[in-house]
Amino acid sequence: MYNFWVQNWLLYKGLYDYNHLRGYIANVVMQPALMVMMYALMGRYAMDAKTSIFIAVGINVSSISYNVISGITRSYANDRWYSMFSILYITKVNRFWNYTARSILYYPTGLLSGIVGLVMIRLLTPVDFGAINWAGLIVATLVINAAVCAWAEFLGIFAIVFSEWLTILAFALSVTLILSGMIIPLEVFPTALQEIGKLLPMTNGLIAIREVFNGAPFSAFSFDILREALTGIAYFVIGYFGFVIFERVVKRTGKLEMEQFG
Amino acid sequence: MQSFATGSIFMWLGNATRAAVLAWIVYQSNAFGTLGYVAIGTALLAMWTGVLTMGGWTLEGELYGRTLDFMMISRTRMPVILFSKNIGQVLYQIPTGLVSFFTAIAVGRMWPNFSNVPTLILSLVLVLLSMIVIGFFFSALVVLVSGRAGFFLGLVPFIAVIMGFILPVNQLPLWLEIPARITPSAWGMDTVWAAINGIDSWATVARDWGICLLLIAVWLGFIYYLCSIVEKRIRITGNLGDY
Repeated sequence: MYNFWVQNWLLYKGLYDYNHLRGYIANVVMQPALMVMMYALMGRYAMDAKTSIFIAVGINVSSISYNVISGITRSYANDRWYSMFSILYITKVNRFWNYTARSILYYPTGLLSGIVGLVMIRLLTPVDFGAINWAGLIVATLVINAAVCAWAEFLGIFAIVFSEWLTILAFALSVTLILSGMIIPLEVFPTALQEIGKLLPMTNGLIAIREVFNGAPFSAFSFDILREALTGIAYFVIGYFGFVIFERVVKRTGKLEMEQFG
Repeated sequence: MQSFATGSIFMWLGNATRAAVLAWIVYQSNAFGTLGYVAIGTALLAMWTGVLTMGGWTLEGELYGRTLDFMMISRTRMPVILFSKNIGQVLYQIPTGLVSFFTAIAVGRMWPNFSNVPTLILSLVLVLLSMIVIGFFFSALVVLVSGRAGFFLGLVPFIAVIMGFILPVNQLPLWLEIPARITPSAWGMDTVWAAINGIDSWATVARDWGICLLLIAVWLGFIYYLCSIVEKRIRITGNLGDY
């Protein structure tokens, strides 16, 4: 167990360049707060208070995903850049736990981002905190955060393959910003695109979160929470298989270092 | 490590998406008079994000690679070097800004009606100057904190709001408008708004231009002083980075 937590910490602290105090405060606390502020003000100015709540809630979830995806994909990319996979592949380290360990400490990071954003929603929008189904909000947030971590693990495989995390982060954030209902309601899109959107993480969770903010009972959004959880599990499993397959391909071809790919 | 090319893809894709959603918000509100301001604002926001992130990364890289050490033995003063780097960064981000601008126009589905184009152009020049100056300020801070540029990335949305890129500053809550009025671009963006929607008073435009230029001069003076402190600290400690 001790070694497992050492592994978690080293993967978290050592492989994300902004994981110092100032960078942590800036990215995990200030950035979500200021993003919610920016979009909430825009929503209030351009449309109305109700829309500013809709947008602020969506952007809060986006901020969670920004911190989690950037951290986990960067850890995979840095592992490749710093040639640490060579060392990993000659050890007997449990591959499942090594894969899982990359997201363990990003889970509370995501939660902290979400809490900070929630405070800004309270300060900047006329949301009625008394009407919120708090138990539902807690469950929905925990599930969304887990789904985002799973999505980041899945994207991390592409970060290993392409030795690149920035473009993957940009792609992931762009796709989810457009198609997951964060700003643009899903109903705007054709049915086919809506269903594609629901295959992304956060989409179903956002439907549940917005019901929660309206004080809906658990039965009204339990299916969306369940769908969000299953989406996360699917991405996690696919990502793990990708992680294992990459190692097998590398060992078969003998090609891992960046230089060999020119 | 991320390359400049992939950093550019990150900038273009992320900024275009943000421009699209911000323009969509305006489009849904039917506030088409705001669309021009938002389109220009998202372009400036994209450029500003690029100046801070790419500028911060290049400085970080120079600190890590020890090439910034040559700045200290050069006869050129550090403020001049950092200022010119920021001019280059702003100019380099113009294509990013254009991508965001045209994305916003495409989502808004109409070409904005600019009331006074010459005034708009002059105002945008002043806003770009303001951006260079504020970026210069952050460059000095990056060198001062030895390259821990990750801190400033978190400030990008806040700085964008108080610089008036998202909303006209007079539409912000008072607790935001006060710090915003210290930035020269806030006054420049007021004249951008007037140039787009119609100039009620040339005296007001001239006043805003004047305050913008005055604040640029004040900021430049302050940053020159800050750079002197930074340079002195580095020459005494001999420490240009913690790497």
